[in-house]
Amino acid sequence: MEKNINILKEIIAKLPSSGPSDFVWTEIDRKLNEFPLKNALGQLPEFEPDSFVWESIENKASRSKWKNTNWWFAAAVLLVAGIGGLWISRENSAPGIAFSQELIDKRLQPQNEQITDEQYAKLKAYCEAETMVCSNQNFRRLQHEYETLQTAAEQLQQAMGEYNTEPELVRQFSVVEREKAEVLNEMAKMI
Amino acid sequence: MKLYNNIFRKLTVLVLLFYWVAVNGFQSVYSQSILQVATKSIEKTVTARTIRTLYINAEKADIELISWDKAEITVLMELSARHPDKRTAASDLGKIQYVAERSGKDYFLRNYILLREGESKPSSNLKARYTIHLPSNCSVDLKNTFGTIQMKGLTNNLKLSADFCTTSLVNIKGKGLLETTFGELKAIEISGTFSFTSDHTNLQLENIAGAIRMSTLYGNVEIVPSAGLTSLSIQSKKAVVTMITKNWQHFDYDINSAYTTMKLPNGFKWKRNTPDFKDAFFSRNQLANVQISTEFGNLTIK
Repeated sequence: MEKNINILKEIIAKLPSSGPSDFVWTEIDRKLNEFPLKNALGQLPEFEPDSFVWESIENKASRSKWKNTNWWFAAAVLLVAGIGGLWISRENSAPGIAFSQELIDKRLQPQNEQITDEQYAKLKAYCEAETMVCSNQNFRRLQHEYETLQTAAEQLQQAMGEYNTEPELVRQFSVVEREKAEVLNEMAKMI
Repeated sequence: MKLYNNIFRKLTVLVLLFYWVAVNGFQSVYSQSILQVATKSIEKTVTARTIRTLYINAEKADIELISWDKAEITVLMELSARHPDKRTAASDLGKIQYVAERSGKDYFLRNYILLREGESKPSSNLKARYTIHLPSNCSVDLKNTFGTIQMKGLTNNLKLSADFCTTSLVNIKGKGLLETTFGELKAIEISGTFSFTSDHTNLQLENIAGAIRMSTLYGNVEIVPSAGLTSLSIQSKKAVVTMITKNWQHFDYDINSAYTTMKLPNGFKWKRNTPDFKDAFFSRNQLANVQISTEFGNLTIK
C-alpha cells in the first residue's frame, strides 16, 4: 500500500504543471476590488431631486423641440412662398401684356328688364285672337318697329357682356328701351 | 405641459384656418368688385406720302383720328380684355387678332376675334382703342361697332360706317359718305359734299356748309346750317327733323310731306295742305336750296 502511495506521488510529481493565465488573475483582482465599492454604494443614502429640477429639464427639452418645429415651419413657408412666387411670376410674365385693375361699376352692368317684352308678348297673344286691329297697316308697322328695337336691344346687351365699362352703351340701351315702350304704348292705344 | 402644448397646437391650426377663410373671403369679395385688365399695345409708324387711304375695320373700338402737319401716320392700337379673373382676361386677350399692314397705297388696320379649334367664346369684356395721327389730306375709310369715333381736321375723302357708335366729327372738309345705325352722330363745321344715311340715329349737325344729302329713318335729326350751305336734301321716314337757322329766308325751300306733323315759319306757300299731305315752298332765288321730303315723323323749321 505504501508502495502504491509512493508510486502515485512519483507519477503526480512527474505531471506537467501549468498556472492560470494572467487574464484570470486580472479578473479576480477586479472583482475583489468591486466588492467593497458595491458594498459602499449600497450603504450610500438615497435622495430624490426637487420637482423644479425635473421641470427645468423638461422645459429645456421642449424648447429644443420647439426650435426644431420652427425650422420646419420656416422651411415650409419658404417652400410655399417660393412656389407661389414662381406661379405669380409665371402668370405675370405673359409676353407683351400689361396688367392693371379697374373697379366694377354695377350701374354699368346690363339689367335684364323684360317688362316691355313681356307686355309685347301679351299684345301679340291678343293679336292671335283679335285679328282685325292687328292686321291694320299701322299696327303692323309699329310691330315691325318694335321688333327692330328689340333686336337692337339684344345686340347692345350682347355687346355690353357681363363686365361692361362703357356708359355710352348703357345710354343707347336706355334710349332703345324707351323707344320700345313708346311704340308699345302706341300699339296698345290701337287695341 | 402636454396639455398646454395640445391647446397651443389646436389654437395655431384654428388661427391658420381662420386666416385662410378670411383671406379667401376677402379675395372673393375683392375680386367681385375688381376687373383685371390685360392690355396689349401695338405701335406703327408709316410714311404718309405713299399712303392714299387708311382703312380701319374695327369692332368695339374707341377710335380717335387727329390730323397733324407731319408727313407720317402713327398708329397706337391698344387691345384689352377685362375680367375679374386675371388668367381669363389674359387668355381672352389672346383671342383678339389684329391687322396693321400696308398693301400698295393703302394701309389697313383691323381688330377681330378669332377662335381656334376647341376655344370657347371670350367671356371677358373686349375692347380696342385706336389713336391715330395722320396728315389732314389722307383719305379715311372707317367701320366700327359699339364704340366711339372722334375725328378732327380731315380734308379729303371720308367714308364712315358706324353701328351703335357715338361719333363726333369736328372741322371736316372734302367729300364724305357717312352711314350710321343706332347711336349718335354729332358733326360741327362740316363743309363739302357729304351724304348721311342714318337708321335710328340721333344726328346733330352744326355749322354745316356745302352740299349735304341726308336719308334718315327714325331718330332725331337737328340741323344748323351756316351761311356757306349750298344745298340740303333730306329724305326722312319716321324721323323727327328740326332745322334751326339764324334767318330761314336765306334759303329756298321745297317741302313734300306725308302723314307728317309739320311746323313752318309764316311765309311759306302751300301747294297742297291736307291733314295727311302737306307740300310747301319758299322761293326767292337764293343761292342755297333746301329740299325736304318726309313720311310720318315730325318736321320743324325755325
